[in-house]
Amino acid sequence: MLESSKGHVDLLLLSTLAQGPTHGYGLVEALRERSGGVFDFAEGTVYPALYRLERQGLVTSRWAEGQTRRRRLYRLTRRGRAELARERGAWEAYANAMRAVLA
Amino acid sequence: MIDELAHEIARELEALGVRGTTRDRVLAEVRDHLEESVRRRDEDPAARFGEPRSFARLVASQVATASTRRAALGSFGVLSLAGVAYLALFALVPAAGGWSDIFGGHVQALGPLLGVATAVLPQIAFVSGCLALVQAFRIRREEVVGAAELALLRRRSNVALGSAAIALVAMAGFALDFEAVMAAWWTWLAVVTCAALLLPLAAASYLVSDSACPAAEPAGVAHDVFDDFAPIFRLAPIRRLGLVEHAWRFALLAAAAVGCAGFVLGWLAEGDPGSGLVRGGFEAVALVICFAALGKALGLRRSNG
Repeated sequence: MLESSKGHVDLLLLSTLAQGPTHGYGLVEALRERSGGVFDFAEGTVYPALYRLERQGLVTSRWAEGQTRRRRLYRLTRRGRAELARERGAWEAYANAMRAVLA
Repeated sequence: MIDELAHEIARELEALGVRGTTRDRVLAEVRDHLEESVRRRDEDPAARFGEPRSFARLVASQVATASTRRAALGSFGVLSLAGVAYLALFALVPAAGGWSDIFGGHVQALGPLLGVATAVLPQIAFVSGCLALVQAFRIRREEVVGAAELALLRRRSNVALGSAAIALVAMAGFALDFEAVMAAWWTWLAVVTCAALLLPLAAASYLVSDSACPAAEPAGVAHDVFDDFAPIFRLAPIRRLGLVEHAWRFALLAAAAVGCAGFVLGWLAEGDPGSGLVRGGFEAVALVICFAALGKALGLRRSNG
Protein backbone atom coordinates (compact mmCIF):
# COMPACT_ATOMS: atom_id res chain seq x y z
CA MET A 1 0.00 0.00 0.00
CA LEU A 2 1.26 3.49 -0.69
CA GLU A 3 2.62 5.12 2.47
CA SER A 4 0.59 8.27 1.83
CA SER A 5 -2.72 6.37 1.79
CA LYS A 6 -2.35 5.03 5.36
CA GLY A 7 -3.90 8.09 6.97
CA HIS A 8 -6.93 7.80 4.74
CA VAL A 9 -7.78 4.15 5.32
CA ASP A 10 -10.98 5.03 7.17
CA LEU A 11 -12.21 7.21 4.32
CA LEU A 12 -11.33 4.50 1.77
CA LEU A 13 -13.13 1.79 3.73
CA LEU A 14 -16.22 3.90 4.42
CA SER A 15 -16.37 4.94 0.79
CA THR A 16 -16.13 1.34 -0.39
CA LEU A 17 -18.79 0.21 2.07
CA ALA A 18 -21.08 2.96 0.78
CA GLN A 19 -21.42 0.82 -2.38
CA GLY A 20 -23.06 -1.89 -0.30
CA PRO A 21 -22.40 -4.41 2.49
CA THR A 22 -19.44 -6.70 1.97
CA HIS A 23 -16.90 -8.85 3.82
CA GLY A 24 -13.22 -8.13 4.49
CA TYR A 25 -11.94 -9.90 1.40
CA GLY A 26 -14.49 -8.09 -0.78
CA LEU A 27 -13.37 -4.74 0.63
CA VAL A 28 -9.71 -5.37 -0.13
CA GLU A 29 -10.55 -6.51 -3.62
CA ALA A 30 -12.85 -3.55 -4.32
CA LEU A 31 -10.22 -1.11 -3.10
CA ARG A 32 -7.57 -2.70 -5.29
CA GLU A 33 -9.83 -2.70 -8.36
CA ARG A 34 -11.22 0.80 -7.91
CA SER A 35 -7.74 2.27 -7.37
CA GLY A 36 -6.28 0.46 -10.38
CA GLY A 37 -4.01 -1.55 -8.08
CA VAL A 38 -2.56 1.49 -6.25
CA PHE A 39 -4.14 0.63 -2.91
CA ASP A 40 -2.77 -2.87 -2.59
CA PHE A 41 -3.21 -3.53 1.15
CA ALA A 42 -1.46 -6.18 3.18
CA GLU A 43 -4.85 -7.82 3.42
CA GLY A 44 -4.75 -8.52 7.15
CA THR A 45 -4.55 -4.80 7.96
CA VAL A 46 -8.13 -4.25 6.86
CA TYR A 47 -9.58 -6.16 9.85
CA PRO A 48 -8.13 -4.05 12.70
CA ALA A 49 -9.31 -0.98 10.76
CA LEU A 50 -12.81 -2.46 10.47
CA TYR A 51 -12.88 -3.34 14.18
CA ARG A 52 -11.96 0.25 14.98
CA LEU A 53 -14.70 1.64 12.73
CA GLU A 54 -17.16 -0.77 14.31
CA ARG A 55 -16.23 0.39 17.82
CA GLN A 56 -16.77 3.97 16.68
CA GLY A 57 -20.24 3.02 15.47
CA LEU A 58 -19.43 3.90 11.84
CA VAL A 59 -19.95 0.36 10.57
CA THR A 60 -21.85 -2.61 11.85
CA SER A 61 -21.27 -6.29 11.15
CA ARG A 62 -23.00 -9.63 11.41
CA TRP A 63 -22.39 -13.23 10.43
CA ALA A 64 -24.25 -14.21 7.27
CA GLU A 65 -24.69 -17.76 5.97
CA GLY A 66 -23.00 -18.11 2.57
CA GLN A 67 -23.25 -21.05 0.18
CA THR A 68 -20.37 -22.90 1.76
CA ARG A 69 -19.54 -21.06 5.00
CA ARG A 70 -20.45 -18.24 7.35
CA ARG A 71 -19.04 -14.83 6.45
CA ARG A 72 -18.83 -11.60 8.39
CA LEU A 73 -20.61 -8.84 6.47
CA TYR A 74 -19.86 -5.18 7.16
CA ARG A 75 -22.37 -2.44 6.57
CA LEU A 76 -22.21 1.34 6.83
CA THR A 77 -24.33 2.86 9.62
CA ARG A 78 -26.18 6.16 9.44
CA ARG A 79 -23.37 7.70 11.49
CA GLY A 80 -20.86 6.16 9.11
CA ARG A 81 -22.58 7.84 6.14
CA ALA A 82 -22.47 11.20 7.90
CA GLU A 83 -18.77 10.70 8.73
CA LEU A 84 -18.09 9.69 5.10
CA ALA A 85 -19.76 12.87 3.82
CA ARG A 86 -17.75 14.98 6.25
CA GLU A 87 -14.43 13.27 5.47
CA ARG A 88 -15.09 13.35 1.73
CA GLY A 89 -15.74 17.11 1.90
CA ALA A 90 -12.53 17.68 3.85
CA TRP A 91 -10.54 15.52 1.43
CA GLU A 92 -11.94 17.30 -1.64
CA ALA A 93 -11.09 20.69 -0.17
CA TYR A 94 -7.55 19.47 0.53
CA ALA A 95 -7.18 17.90 -2.92
CA ASN A 96 -8.47 21.07 -4.65
CA ALA A 97 -6.01 23.17 -2.68
CA MET A 98 -3.14 20.86 -3.62
CA ARG A 99 -4.18 20.93 -7.29
CA ALA A 100 -4.35 24.71 -7.25
CA VAL A 101 -0.88 24.99 -5.74
CA LEU A 102 0.71 22.35 -7.98
CA ALA A 103 -0.90 23.60 -11.20
CA MET B 1 -1.60 -23.35 4.37
CA ILE B 2 -4.86 -22.02 5.84
CA ASP B 3 -4.56 -24.16 8.97
CA GLU B 4 -0.90 -23.28 9.38
CA LEU B 5 -1.45 -19.51 9.18
CA ALA B 6 -4.60 -19.65 11.33
CA HIS B 7 -2.71 -21.61 13.99
CA GLU B 8 0.14 -19.17 13.92
CA ILE B 9 -2.21 -16.22 14.36
CA ALA B 10 -4.08 -18.10 17.12
CA ARG B 11 -0.77 -18.72 18.89
CA GLU B 12 0.25 -15.07 18.59
CA LEU B 13 -3.14 -13.83 19.83
CA GLU B 14 -2.99 -16.26 22.76
CA ALA B 15 0.52 -15.10 23.65
CA LEU B 16 -0.65 -11.50 23.60
CA GLY B 17 -3.63 -12.26 25.84
CA VAL B 18 -6.45 -11.97 23.29
CA ARG B 19 -8.94 -14.64 24.31
CA GLY B 20 -12.55 -15.73 24.20
CA THR B 21 -15.09 -14.43 21.71
CA THR B 22 -12.77 -11.70 20.38
CA ARG B 23 -10.11 -14.26 19.44
CA ASP B 24 -12.70 -16.66 17.99
CA ARG B 25 -14.20 -13.95 15.82
CA VAL B 26 -10.81 -12.77 14.54
CA LEU B 27 -9.76 -16.32 13.71
CA ALA B 28 -13.06 -17.11 11.95
CA GLU B 29 -12.65 -14.02 9.78
CA VAL B 30 -9.01 -14.80 9.00
CA ARG B 31 -9.96 -18.34 8.01
CA ASP B 32 -12.80 -17.10 5.82
CA HIS B 33 -10.50 -14.57 4.20
CA LEU B 34 -7.87 -17.18 3.40
CA GLU B 35 -10.41 -19.68 2.09
CA GLU B 36 -11.79 -17.02 -0.25
CA SER B 37 -8.26 -16.17 -1.35
CA VAL B 38 -7.54 -19.84 -2.13
CA ARG B 39 -10.88 -20.26 -3.90
CA ARG B 40 -10.04 -17.35 -6.20
CA ARG B 41 -6.60 -18.80 -6.85
CA ASP B 42 -4.78 -15.70 -5.53
CA GLU B 43 -1.03 -15.91 -5.65
CA ASP B 44 0.49 -16.74 -2.22
CA PRO B 45 -2.52 -15.91 0.04
CA ALA B 46 -0.39 -16.08 3.21
CA ALA B 47 2.02 -13.42 1.96
CA ARG B 48 -0.88 -11.25 0.79
CA PHE B 49 -2.48 -11.47 4.21
CA GLY B 50 0.63 -10.15 5.94
CA GLU B 51 2.84 -10.96 8.91
CA PRO B 52 0.86 -12.89 11.62
CA ARG B 53 2.82 -11.33 14.47
CA SER B 54 2.21 -7.70 13.46
CA PHE B 55 -1.45 -8.51 12.72
CA ALA B 56 -1.90 -10.09 16.18
CA ARG B 57 -0.02 -7.24 17.87
CA LEU B 58 -2.26 -4.61 16.27
CA VAL B 59 -5.41 -6.52 17.25
CA ALA B 60 -4.11 -6.97 20.84
CA SER B 61 -3.20 -3.28 21.14
CA GLN B 62 -6.66 -2.27 19.97
CA VAL B 63 -8.37 -4.69 22.35
CA ALA B 64 -6.17 -3.53 25.25
CA THR B 65 -6.96 0.13 24.58
CA ALA B 66 -10.71 -0.39 24.17
CA SER B 67 -11.12 -2.73 27.14
CA THR B 68 -9.07 -0.57 29.54
CA ARG B 69 -11.02 2.53 28.51
CA ARG B 70 -14.31 0.66 28.90
CA ALA B 71 -13.30 -0.71 32.33
CA ALA B 72 -12.32 2.78 33.51
CA LEU B 73 -15.67 4.23 32.41
CA GLY B 74 -17.54 1.32 34.02
CA SER B 75 -15.57 1.87 37.24
CA PHE B 76 -16.56 5.51 37.28
CA GLY B 77 -20.22 4.50 36.91
CA VAL B 78 -19.96 2.13 39.88
CA LEU B 79 -18.06 4.75 41.91
CA SER B 80 -20.79 7.31 41.19
CA LEU B 81 -23.41 4.89 42.50
CA ALA B 82 -21.33 4.23 45.63
CA GLY B 83 -20.76 7.96 46.09
CA VAL B 84 -24.47 8.78 45.95
CA ALA B 85 -25.29 6.00 48.45
CA TYR B 86 -22.46 7.12 50.72
CA LEU B 87 -23.66 10.75 50.74
CA ALA B 88 -27.24 9.59 51.37
CA LEU B 89 -26.06 7.65 54.45
CA PHE B 90 -24.27 10.75 55.71
CA ALA B 91 -27.33 12.90 55.06
CA LEU B 92 -29.49 10.52 57.12
CA VAL B 93 -27.24 10.69 60.20
CA PRO B 94 -29.07 13.67 61.82
CA ALA B 95 -32.38 11.81 61.48
CA ALA B 96 -30.82 8.70 63.06
CA GLY B 97 -29.59 10.39 66.21
CA GLY B 98 -26.93 12.82 64.98
CA TRP B 99 -23.15 12.80 65.27
CA SER B 100 -21.95 11.80 68.68
CA ASP B 101 -18.59 12.02 70.45
CA ILE B 102 -15.95 10.33 68.27
CA PHE B 103 -14.77 8.31 71.31
CA GLY B 104 -18.33 7.22 72.15
CA GLY B 105 -18.37 3.93 70.24
CA HIS B 106 -18.08 0.40 71.61
CA VAL B 107 -14.31 0.44 71.04
CA GLN B 108 -12.95 3.84 72.02
CA ALA B 109 -9.83 3.81 69.86
CA LEU B 110 -11.76 2.74 66.78
CA GLY B 111 -13.87 5.92 66.50
CA PRO B 112 -11.13 8.35 65.41
CA LEU B 113 -9.62 5.79 63.03
CA LEU B 114 -12.97 5.14 61.34
CA GLY B 115 -13.73 8.87 61.34
CA VAL B 116 -10.52 9.65 59.43
CA ALA B 117 -11.10 6.74 57.03
CA THR B 118 -14.69 7.77 56.27
CA ALA B 119 -13.54 11.35 55.64
CA VAL B 120 -10.30 10.87 53.68
CA LEU B 121 -10.80 7.70 51.61
CA PRO B 122 -13.92 8.90 49.75
CA GLN B 123 -11.96 11.99 48.73
CA ILE B 124 -9.10 9.85 47.39
CA ALA B 125 -11.68 7.73 45.53
CA PHE B 126 -13.30 10.86 44.12
CA VAL B 127 -10.04 12.43 42.93
CA SER B 128 -8.67 9.16 41.45
CA GLY B 129 -11.99 8.34 39.79
CA CYS B 130 -12.22 11.81 38.25
CA LEU B 131 -8.63 11.60 37.02
CA ALA B 132 -9.40 8.23 35.40
CA LEU B 133 -12.54 9.65 33.80
CA VAL B 134 -10.72 12.70 32.41
CA GLN B 135 -7.89 10.50 31.10
CA ALA B 136 -10.35 8.10 29.46
CA PHE B 137 -11.99 11.13 27.84
CA ARG B 138 -8.61 12.47 26.68
CA ILE B 139 -7.76 9.21 24.89
CA ARG B 140 -11.32 8.54 23.67
CA ARG B 141 -10.42 8.80 19.97
CA GLU B 142 -7.11 6.93 20.17
CA GLU B 143 -7.07 3.62 18.34
CA VAL B 144 -3.98 2.35 20.11
CA VAL B 145 -2.58 3.75 23.36
CA GLY B 146 0.79 2.78 24.83
CA ALA B 147 1.13 0.34 27.71
CA ALA B 148 2.37 2.99 30.19
CA GLU B 149 -0.66 5.22 29.55
CA LEU B 150 -3.07 2.30 29.96
CA ALA B 151 -1.29 1.19 33.14
CA LEU B 152 -1.81 4.68 34.58
CA LEU B 153 -5.51 4.54 33.69
CA ARG B 154 -5.87 1.16 35.40
CA ARG B 155 -3.92 2.38 38.45
CA ARG B 156 -6.15 5.43 38.85
CA SER B 157 -9.27 3.25 38.54
CA ASN B 158 -7.93 0.68 40.99
CA VAL B 159 -6.92 3.30 43.58
CA ALA B 160 -10.41 4.81 43.28
CA LEU B 161 -12.14 1.45 43.61
CA GLY B 162 -9.89 0.30 46.47
CA SER B 163 -10.34 3.54 48.41
CA ALA B 164 -14.09 3.41 47.91
CA ALA B 165 -14.23 -0.21 49.09
CA ILE B 166 -12.22 0.54 52.25
CA ALA B 167 -14.35 3.64 52.88
CA LEU B 168 -17.49 1.49 52.69
CA VAL B 169 -16.00 -1.05 55.11
CA ALA B 170 -15.08 1.84 57.43
CA MET B 171 -18.62 3.24 57.18
CA ALA B 172 -20.12 -0.16 58.05
CA GLY B 173 -17.62 -0.46 60.92
CA PHE B 174 -18.58 3.01 62.11
CA ALA B 175 -22.27 2.06 62.04
CA LEU B 176 -21.63 -1.06 64.11
CA ASP B 177 -19.27 0.69 66.52
CA PHE B 178 -21.86 3.39 67.21
CA GLU B 179 -24.97 1.21 67.01
CA ALA B 180 -25.80 1.99 70.68
CA VAL B 181 -26.18 5.72 69.97
CA MET B 182 -27.65 5.57 66.45
CA ALA B 183 -31.13 4.47 65.39
CA ALA B 184 -31.24 0.74 64.58
CA TRP B 185 -32.69 1.35 61.09
CA TRP B 186 -29.68 3.53 60.16
CA THR B 187 -27.20 0.97 61.45
CA TRP B 188 -28.74 -1.80 59.38
CA LEU B 189 -29.23 0.43 56.35
CA ALA B 190 -25.55 1.44 56.50
CA VAL B 191 -24.26 -2.12 56.91
CA VAL B 192 -26.49 -3.60 54.19
CA THR B 193 -25.86 -0.74 51.74
CA CYS B 194 -22.09 -0.87 52.22
CA ALA B 195 -22.01 -4.66 51.89
CA ALA B 196 -24.17 -4.56 48.75
CA LEU B 197 -21.99 -1.89 47.13
CA LEU B 198 -18.85 -3.96 47.63
CA LEU B 199 -20.09 -6.41 44.98
CA PRO B 200 -20.19 -3.99 42.01
CA LEU B 201 -16.92 -2.45 43.20
CA ALA B 202 -15.31 -5.91 43.17
CA ALA B 203 -16.76 -6.64 39.71
CA ALA B 204 -15.43 -3.33 38.37
CA SER B 205 -12.03 -4.05 39.89
CA TYR B 206 -11.98 -7.47 38.21
CA LEU B 207 -12.75 -5.86 34.83
CA VAL B 208 -9.99 -3.29 35.31
CA SER B 209 -7.47 -6.02 36.19
CA ASP B 210 -8.68 -8.21 33.32
CA SER B 211 -8.19 -5.36 30.83
CA ALA B 212 -4.44 -5.64 31.52
CA CYS B 213 -4.41 -9.07 29.89
CA PRO B 214 -4.18 -8.15 26.18
CA ALA B 215 -0.68 -6.84 25.54
CA ALA B 216 -0.77 -3.14 24.74
CA GLU B 217 1.54 -1.34 22.35
CA PRO B 218 4.82 -1.17 24.28
CA ALA B 219 5.88 2.21 22.89
CA GLY B 220 4.88 5.52 24.44
CA VAL B 221 4.95 7.18 27.85
CA ALA B 222 2.28 7.80 30.47
CA HIS B 223 1.01 11.35 30.55
CA ASP B 224 -0.07 13.13 33.73
CA VAL B 225 -2.55 15.54 35.25
CA PHE B 226 -0.93 18.42 33.34
CA ASP B 227 -1.85 16.68 30.08
CA ASP B 228 -5.31 15.71 31.35
CA PHE B 229 -6.10 19.36 32.06
CA ALA B 230 -3.81 20.83 29.41
CA PRO B 231 -6.24 23.61 28.35
CA ILE B 232 -6.24 24.93 31.94
CA PHE B 233 -2.51 24.60 32.54
CA ARG B 234 -1.83 26.36 29.24
CA LEU B 235 -3.66 29.51 30.34
CA ALA B 236 -1.11 32.31 30.65
CA PRO B 237 -1.72 33.22 34.34
CA ILE B 238 -1.47 29.56 35.38
CA ARG B 239 1.50 28.85 33.11
CA ARG B 240 3.38 31.68 34.81
CA LEU B 241 3.09 29.82 38.14
CA GLY B 242 5.40 27.10 36.77
CA LEU B 243 3.25 24.30 38.18
CA VAL B 244 4.28 21.77 35.52
CA GLU B 245 7.97 22.17 36.32
CA HIS B 246 7.39 22.34 40.10
CA ALA B 247 4.72 19.79 40.97
CA TRP B 248 5.06 20.44 44.71
CA ARG B 249 4.10 24.04 44.10
CA PHE B 250 0.95 22.66 42.49
CA ALA B 251 0.33 20.41 45.52
CA LEU B 252 0.79 23.25 48.03
CA LEU B 253 -1.52 25.55 46.05
CA ALA B 254 -4.15 22.81 45.91
CA ALA B 255 -3.70 22.19 49.66
CA ALA B 256 -4.15 25.91 50.35
CA ALA B 257 -7.33 26.00 48.26
CA VAL B 258 -8.73 22.86 49.91
CA GLY B 259 -7.73 24.18 53.34
CA CYS B 260 -9.56 27.47 52.73
CA ALA B 261 -12.66 25.61 51.53
CA GLY B 262 -12.50 23.32 54.60
CA PHE B 263 -12.13 26.35 56.88
CA VAL B 264 -15.21 28.10 55.43
CA LEU B 265 -17.34 24.94 55.41
CA GLY B 266 -16.27 24.02 58.95
CA TRP B 267 -17.04 27.50 60.20
CA LEU B 268 -20.46 27.49 58.50
CA ALA B 269 -21.30 23.98 59.76
CA GLU B 270 -20.17 24.47 63.38
CA GLY B 271 -20.68 28.23 63.67
CA ASP B 272 -17.20 28.48 65.11
CA PRO B 273 -14.03 29.64 63.27
CA GLY B 274 -11.89 27.36 65.44
CA SER B 275 -13.69 24.28 64.08
CA GLY B 276 -13.25 25.65 60.59
CA LEU B 277 -9.53 26.04 61.22
CA VAL B 278 -9.22 22.43 62.45
CA ARG B 279 -11.16 21.08 59.47
CA GLY B 280 -9.32 23.22 56.93
CA GLY B 281 -5.93 22.32 58.43
CA PHE B 282 -6.81 18.62 58.46
CA GLU B 283 -7.90 18.70 54.79
CA ALA B 284 -4.76 20.57 53.70
CA VAL B 285 -2.40 18.23 55.57
CA ALA B 286 -4.27 15.16 54.27
CA LEU B 287 -3.92 16.42 50.69
CA VAL B 288 -0.17 16.96 51.07
CA ILE B 289 0.29 13.48 52.58
CA CYS B 290 -1.79 11.86 49.81
CA PHE B 291 0.16 13.79 47.18
CA ALA B 292 3.43 12.50 48.63
CA ALA B 293 2.14 8.92 48.83
CA LEU B 294 0.14 8.67 45.59
CA GLY B 295 1.35 11.58 43.44
CA LYS B 296 3.49 9.53 41.06
CA ALA B 297 1.18 6.52 40.99
CA LEU B 298 -1.79 8.70 39.99
CA GLY B 299 0.18 10.80 37.51
CA LEU B 300 -0.09 13.97 39.62
CA ARG B 301 3.58 14.70 39.19
CA ARG B 302 6.22 13.67 36.75
CA SER B 303 8.99 11.35 37.78
CA ASN B 304 11.34 14.32 38.05
CA GLY B 305 8.69 16.42 39.82
